Amino acid sequence: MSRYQLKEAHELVVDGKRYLFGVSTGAILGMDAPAARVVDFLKNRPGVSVQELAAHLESEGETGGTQEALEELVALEVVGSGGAGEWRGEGAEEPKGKGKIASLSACTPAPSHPCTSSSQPRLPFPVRSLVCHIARDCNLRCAYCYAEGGSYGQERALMDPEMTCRSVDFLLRHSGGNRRISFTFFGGEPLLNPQALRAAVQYGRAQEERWGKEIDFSLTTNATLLSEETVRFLSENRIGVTVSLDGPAAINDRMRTYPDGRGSYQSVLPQVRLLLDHHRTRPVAARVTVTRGVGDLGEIFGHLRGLGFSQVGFCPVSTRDARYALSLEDLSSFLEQLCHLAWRCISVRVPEAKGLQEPSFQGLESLEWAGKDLPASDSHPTRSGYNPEEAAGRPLPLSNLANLLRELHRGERRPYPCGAGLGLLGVGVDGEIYPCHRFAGSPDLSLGRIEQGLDLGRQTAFFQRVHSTKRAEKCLECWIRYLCAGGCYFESYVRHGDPFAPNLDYCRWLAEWIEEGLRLYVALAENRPGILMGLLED
Amino acid sequence: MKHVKAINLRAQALEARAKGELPDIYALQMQLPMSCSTVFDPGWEVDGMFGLAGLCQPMENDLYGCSADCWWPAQVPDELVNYPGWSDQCSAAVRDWQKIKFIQGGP
Ligand code: SF4
Ligand code: SF4
Repeated sequence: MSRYQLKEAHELVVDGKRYLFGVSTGAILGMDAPAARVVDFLKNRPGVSVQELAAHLESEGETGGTQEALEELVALEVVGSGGAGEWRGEGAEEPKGKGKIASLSACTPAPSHPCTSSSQPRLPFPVRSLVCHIARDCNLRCAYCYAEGGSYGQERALMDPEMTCRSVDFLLRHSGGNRRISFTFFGGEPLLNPQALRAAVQYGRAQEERWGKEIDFSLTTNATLLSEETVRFLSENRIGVTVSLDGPAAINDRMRTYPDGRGSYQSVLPQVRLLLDHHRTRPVAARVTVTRGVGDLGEIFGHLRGLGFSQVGFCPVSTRDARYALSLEDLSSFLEQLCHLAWRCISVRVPEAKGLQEPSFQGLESLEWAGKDLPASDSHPTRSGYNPEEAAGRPLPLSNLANLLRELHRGERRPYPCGAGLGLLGVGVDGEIYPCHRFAGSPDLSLGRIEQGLDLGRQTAFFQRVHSTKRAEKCLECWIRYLCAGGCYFESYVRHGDPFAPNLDYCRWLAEWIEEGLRLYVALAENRPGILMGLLED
Repeated sequence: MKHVKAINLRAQALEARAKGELPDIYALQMQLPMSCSTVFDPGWEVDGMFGLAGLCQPMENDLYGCSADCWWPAQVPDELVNYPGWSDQCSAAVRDWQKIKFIQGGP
């Protein structure tokens, strides 16, 4: 006789219907009434037999579909089953968090662990993206810059074009089976070093065929130094461009200034126009850094979209400096506005959704949040009668949302927060390799040099520390742990002085944002799957 | 399925597997590392002390990664064909690993 119990899941209600997000599977499932009844009965019960389940539902006057629903829940890994002979209930331990059930204890003794392999990811690991600092210098002095005026706290310097070509070579050599690889020009302001940019692109394009690989070049710039000629080069070579710009002049110029304190907006505008008008081969994105006070995200978004950026992404500033860092209220307002913006993006695309009740938040009472379940609200009723033509094939203009929906669609599960140190590496102007671009100038975290290659010992040590420290008790209980995996190493470094500390500062924020994404995803998938597919396209 | 609806790709892949169809392997696998938000399936692991206490995601991912989604002949019973309920009592591997069943002999 099999005994059943619920596996870990996060529950939500959209348009009066109940859904589950499988914490470890990443599967999103809708339940009808019989399935929901089974789930409800299994909650708080550590191991239930079919007979018990049937008896209970019968006593409630519900019988139809129970057995079938149970089988489906088992097949989709929401409910687990075990043979009764092998299991002994341990009494109803209080479950931790919604949808989570205290487990049974096996009669069998604890097995000795079969594994003797090391805890390390298998190295060398094929590199997919290389982010290269071609300039450790910048012509702006944005107040919040984590790179301290583009210099990363070191002497200002440009990368030798030969070193840039070697870096391209490094990427080609270390990319293993990856056929599409990406090389990003970063800084400082990379356009302070146009020689290196041109040399690397020419070299890379010439090597692609020989290696049978395709290099996706991209550039992150403040746009101040763009010329007609540069834009033509970027367009001709299909170089993806992201412009750092914080919105209209009044907002942008509070932080993004020249060394003499002048705001940068006015001088950037003509270049941005030039870029948007003449870069024909790739969409151009804007990246907004959100700082203390937050401002009006809708206004910023509208302004940048109005200029012609095809995507706008918002990112909170990385700093502990209280003048710029987001306070608790700021984070709350940021989240609220981002969610509203997300709904707006969808409702613009899907006109009938305009009257949709927008998300409402009570605010975040605490930054640290260990992933306790949030009350499932039902604030977003079904929207019907969308016009599929309206939307098909046009990607979402809010990159935060586009990325989240894509992750939820695939049911992504990530064992590490990002590819830093594995598939993604950063290179400093001097050819020093770092776990990612943002660590440039932190010599203790160097992973080798472009000329000599990766130092496997250091890479191993990096992941030893990731494994021994990054995962907090809190993460073990957290329903978004397979999407977050402890958070950005660099954020932890900035906030706690230790890249390996779990980044518990944004837990609550992140969980609410993902919850909102789930809601949107489910609403679209259920009502207008065609539109959703169009939005997910790149 | 009649009572539970698979909404996203992952759920659809689980459903395909349950029906005995060949699931979309990509949808079941961990995604390959890319850019700032890369993912990676590191294989069976223990922590620095050869235990499990220091692990969070990798252990659980690997455990189920090896046994269920993309079965390969590791030290883990395969859930796909021979041992479907093998890890059912163990929803959080780090905490509940003692509760994983033994498999004796061959299938
Ligand atoms: S750091 Fe991430 S995984 Fe860990 S508890 Fe916070 S949100 Fe969850
Ligand atoms: S450590 Fe942070 S900044 Fe670096 S790649 Fe990872 S998420 Fe991105």
